[in-house]
Amino acid sequence: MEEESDTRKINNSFLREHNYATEADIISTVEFNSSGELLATGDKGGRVVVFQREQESKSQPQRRGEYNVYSTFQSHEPEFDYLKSLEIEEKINKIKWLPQQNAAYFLLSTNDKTVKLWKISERDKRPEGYNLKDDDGRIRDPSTITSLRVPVLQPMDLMVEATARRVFSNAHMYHINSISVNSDYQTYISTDDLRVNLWNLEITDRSFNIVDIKPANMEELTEVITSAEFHPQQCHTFAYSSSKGSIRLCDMREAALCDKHCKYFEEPEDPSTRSFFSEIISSISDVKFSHNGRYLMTRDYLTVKVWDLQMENKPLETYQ
Amino acid sequence: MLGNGVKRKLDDDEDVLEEERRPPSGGVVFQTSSTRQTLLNMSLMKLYGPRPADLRLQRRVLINNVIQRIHRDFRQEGGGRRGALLLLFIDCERGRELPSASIFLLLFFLLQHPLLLDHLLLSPRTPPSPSPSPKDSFSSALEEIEELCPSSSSSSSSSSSSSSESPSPPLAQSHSFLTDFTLDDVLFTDIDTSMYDLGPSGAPPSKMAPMVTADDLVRSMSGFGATGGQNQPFKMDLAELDHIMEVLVGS
Repeated sequence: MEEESDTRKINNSFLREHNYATEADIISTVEFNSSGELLATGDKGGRVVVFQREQESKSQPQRRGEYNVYSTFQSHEPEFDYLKSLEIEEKINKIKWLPQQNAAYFLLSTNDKTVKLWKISERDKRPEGYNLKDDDGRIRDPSTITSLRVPVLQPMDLMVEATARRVFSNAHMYHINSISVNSDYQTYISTDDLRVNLWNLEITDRSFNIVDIKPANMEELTEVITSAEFHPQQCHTFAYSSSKGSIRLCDMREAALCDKHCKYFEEPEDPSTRSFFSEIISSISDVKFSHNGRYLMTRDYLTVKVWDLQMENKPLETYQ
Repeated sequence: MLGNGVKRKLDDDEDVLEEERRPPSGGVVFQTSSTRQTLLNMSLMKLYGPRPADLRLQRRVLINNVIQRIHRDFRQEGGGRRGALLLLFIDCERGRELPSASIFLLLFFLLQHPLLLDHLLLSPRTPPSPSPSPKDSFSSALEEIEELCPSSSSSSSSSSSSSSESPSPPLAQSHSFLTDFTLDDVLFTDIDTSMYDLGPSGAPPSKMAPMVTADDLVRSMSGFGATGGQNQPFKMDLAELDHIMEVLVGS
């Protein structure tokens, strides 16, 4: 008896003190959908967990704002590049929701090398009364069928299923750091350290390279692309940020290869705060357009900056 | 160096990385030589130490920029020999398929002991062969050292003019320490031909030295003293190490 209670005590404290979250559970990316109803998280183990906001209810008004698990699925698996003897991590780097057009939800999720389009749909009805097979799925012997019936849709427990609809692979030599869906809802861009590729959502075997900053001699490489995003309204405009703290705005109508930027945003370095680390901490990790498309927000190691698209030489606001 | 199967602790690496990324407190500018030296060591360890393949391209570029900046500081301050040596080391490391861990350690040591470095570079030796017509940074680094060594006091002005001059007879009195490296070793592998590289690990799509596995390092360390079965780079390492030790010991 005493032993049992001891064991229970040990088990309880063990479970409480030891965090059973493994390294694979570390969340690597987070993204709300446009309405805010759904929140998608990607983790290091290649899984995507989608949370849904609780419905508003008069009896418990304070519960609005809580999210419950809606769907969980394994988006990416670890792969091995045999040519280079390198493992391709399954960690989800970015998730982006597509605008909702029907009852199903679509999202793009990417690891270092492959982008996948996932469809998340609900099923709450099940057809029953097939003629040729039983309800458990076994095929009925045709000789035993004496009458025909029309299958009827019966309600069932809500089931949320995720299916991979497209796989966009083999387009990036370096690690994909961001994806961005265009306002035309037909194309999107995927960005790695040196290149930006334009895809059509329907076509998986072809992509167009629209930015390439790889130098002829790799020894001269001093700057990499860290993030890119489409303009929210203009489907021909996108911006990309670099590891040196600059943002370039490009127009795809100018040329097929947008190496030449239209606008270049950079705040000159303050010589009084110059140090060995100033370049590293100025590296921009993310760039986002405002909803009206007139401002840009960037984040580097220490600050968040808001830029006006019309003013290239310094940001409007800096938050530290 | 790490042996087979020894996992690098995440905590240690995190600490070092945090140290590197943490900005100077209160905006104070770090210009002290010891801080710079520490930073240089840390950066070199990250790039060329064990498991550099774990680094992403962005990190490698940032760390390399730090090294380049320190290199420029060296040259500006007139520590031209160290600057050129550092540059030469980086160039040679890039050209090799597998790292010469011994050379790495040795140069590390030398960079921290400038007197020893001066002694080494000033020792006269006859070179086996003059290097062919220069192109690329290897030769310019060679020329820099050429320019700097005959004069007892280093002068940065001469280093800037060296690149425009053609290789002159002073090449003859150069340090065979440098001319032991033939240009064959310093071919910069283009990233697209990485699949044709020899070696167990191949070369990843990176701009830095090819990937090093713990296996390679252990093999390179244990390769000294073994006779047959070594490929060219290991033999070169052994010869170079021997020569350098000779110069240091003065025999």
